[in-house]
Amino acid sequence: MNERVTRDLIVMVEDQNHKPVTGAAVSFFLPNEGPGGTFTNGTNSLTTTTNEQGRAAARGIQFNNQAGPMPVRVSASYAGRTASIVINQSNVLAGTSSVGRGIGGGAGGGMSKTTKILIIGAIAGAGAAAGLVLGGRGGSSTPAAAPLPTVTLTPGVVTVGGPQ
Amino acid sequence: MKRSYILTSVFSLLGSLNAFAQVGAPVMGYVPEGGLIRIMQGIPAAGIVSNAFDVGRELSLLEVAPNQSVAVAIAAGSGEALVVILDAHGSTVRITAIAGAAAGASRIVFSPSGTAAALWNGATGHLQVVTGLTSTPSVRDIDASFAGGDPGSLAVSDDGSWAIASWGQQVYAFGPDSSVKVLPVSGAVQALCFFHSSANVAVVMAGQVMTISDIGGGAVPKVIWTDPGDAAASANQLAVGVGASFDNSRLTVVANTGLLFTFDMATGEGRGADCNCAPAGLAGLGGATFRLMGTNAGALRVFDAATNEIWMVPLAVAADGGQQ
Repeated sequence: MNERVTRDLIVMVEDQNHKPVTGAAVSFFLPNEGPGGTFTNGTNSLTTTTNEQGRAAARGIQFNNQAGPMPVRVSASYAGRTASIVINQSNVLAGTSSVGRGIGGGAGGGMSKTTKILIIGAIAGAGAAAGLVLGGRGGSSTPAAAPLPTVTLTPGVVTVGGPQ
Repeated sequence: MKRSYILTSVFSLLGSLNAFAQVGAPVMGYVPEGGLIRIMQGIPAAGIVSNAFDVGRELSLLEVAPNQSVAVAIAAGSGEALVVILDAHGSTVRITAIAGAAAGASRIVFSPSGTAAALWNGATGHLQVVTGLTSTPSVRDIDASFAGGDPGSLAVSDDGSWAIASWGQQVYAFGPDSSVKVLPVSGAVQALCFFHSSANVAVVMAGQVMTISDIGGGAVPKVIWTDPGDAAASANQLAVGVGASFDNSRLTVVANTGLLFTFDMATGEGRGADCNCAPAGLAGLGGATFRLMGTNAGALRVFDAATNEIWMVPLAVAADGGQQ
């Protein structure tokens, strides 16, 4: 099949000069209800930090069995500045026969007959550059050159003076 | 350094401890000692640490709130998190499990006033913020495992909305909506704290003290002190605690060398003191007074940030002549 599938969310954090930001805290928030899922920590939010390339990834998402639009809120913070975007994605159910194991199988229980596939959607970012989430694992046809969603952080001002 | 001892008063108290307790001497505060709680009676200038009282459980970890009304403890063996309601005279306590708190917390930190507490679990990398300590405790779980390892410093706001923790040069603020912010600091953090009833924090780094206002909003940093001297000269000096007076008018920093430095937050002026001891931290006692943690051998030290005085509070002497 020729679908792009992924269970990972990856974003890139840049400063105002479009340089990657290392060590930014990036939080991913899956919807509280409806199409969504849980991260490896068992909740619908996960925080991680960006690497030297300014990238942060949320891996191993377990999607629920509700199909439909799935906006993922992503918040990044560094040096007191915070920015966020919303990544609009869809949670799509598909049969295991067409997708194969390793994409979404193994969820157990009522999930055994279906496999969760995350179809990449458009990015609706607040001031963010348009881009696509790269499929990290299990995506056999993900274009390697697709740009990451970008969260831009603008540095703040540090004041020096007497105590307030 | 200014040190004050009112030895006459102290020795008088030593000789009349039993009678002292019977007439209901004021309780200055409580001192956790291992799994026991000792009572500090009197006033900073004439106080004494009396014998420990039994809370009815064997405890492996215990911290007392700055408002001296409650303690949080970890039960030995089971690791269960417990809240201990302290009686004004230390004669009775109520101890209950904190529903929803994970077992095995390895660190307990109170908010400046003691209305919230944070439990760090080093095995899981989770932080749990507990509010409603004296009524119905409520627990909020925070997954901080992404930071890796135990935080160097940890603090929680009085309303429990925010917790901050440092890992090296990174200070993360964990908000009420599961948000995580990286606070603007410029060096390895040695100590940090919240101000009372606010989302403003103080951060101590090597050679620098700064405040960050409104961490949930603009997170505006402001450097209030920078070491003008040779940084190498103070290489062996490490801030082990920082705390604000209950009215937020003063901020006290204590170093492992025994030096204390108190900033007047209105004027910006600072005053130094030396306890001639090796404290491990600051624990609020109410008002502008702090107990210097880790100085319990023989006599503990109480610091009054309002007067910049350090008081020795001796331990009670047992009937056999040893310390109780």
